[in-house]
Amino acid sequence: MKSMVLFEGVLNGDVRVNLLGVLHSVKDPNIRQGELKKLCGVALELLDNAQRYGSGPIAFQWNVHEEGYCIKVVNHASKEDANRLVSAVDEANKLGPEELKAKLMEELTNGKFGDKGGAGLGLLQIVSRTKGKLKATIHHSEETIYRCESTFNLKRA
Amino acid sequence: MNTPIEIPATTQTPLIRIEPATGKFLMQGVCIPEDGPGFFGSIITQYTESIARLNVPGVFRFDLKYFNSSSLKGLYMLLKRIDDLSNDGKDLRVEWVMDKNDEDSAGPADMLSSMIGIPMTLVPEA
Repeated sequence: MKSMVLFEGVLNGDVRVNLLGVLHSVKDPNIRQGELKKLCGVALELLDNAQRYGSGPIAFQWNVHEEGYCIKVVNHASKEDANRLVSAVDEANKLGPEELKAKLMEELTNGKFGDKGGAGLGLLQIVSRTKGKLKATIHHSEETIYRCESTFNLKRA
Repeated sequence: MNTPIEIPATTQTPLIRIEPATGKFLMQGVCIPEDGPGFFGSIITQYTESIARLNVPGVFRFDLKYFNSSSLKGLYMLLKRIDDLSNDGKDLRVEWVMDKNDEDSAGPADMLSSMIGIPMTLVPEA
């Protein structure tokens, strides 16, 4: 069974909630409820990042197909935030399970949030809680604005 | 002073109910606030003030359908505060409601409990 959810437009709190509502209601006999919840968690973290650090409209894509799942968010952000996204994804992907756990603990217990309210945990959690591949690419689209593409891929078990 | 507090749930934040007379604290629903630091800052203040006035044992029930990573950090800070006050002599107990459709729903509770060193009772969803 295939399913796809596409959204293009300005992301705000209501849109985020409504998108999650649609994703949670996906009825696919091949996806266990716990697995669906985990995938929704990935989508939520990517949307949170886009809302927190992005500016202007975004594109969101949720794609379930025979081979697996793909969740993609495209947003625009400042050079600093775009570079930080790529660094954070690269770092999370490089860490082994124990290093990842240690990094999660470190971020969780540091008692502070980032300047824009982030916890520094979202990308680490995606990598640690799923066996999926997380990738981030950025392109210089305007003088000070970068196009950020965050993609999560997971093969069906 | 012992007036109950009820903050209704929204599409992004959970119901908060504090009953000082019975010592029952409830956080229930979805927790994905846009302003995680602001939301949890306010909750931690309200919980701390209410715990200080408790004359009965406190029971803190967390019944969260799902939450984002910013809320996980907020929950850590809130539970740490509860643990600190418990170590200061208050009789406080934490309950975590498990989602019957999610086999991993005890995961965050186990992690927070072991990190903070605060005992948590896992409660099956009704």
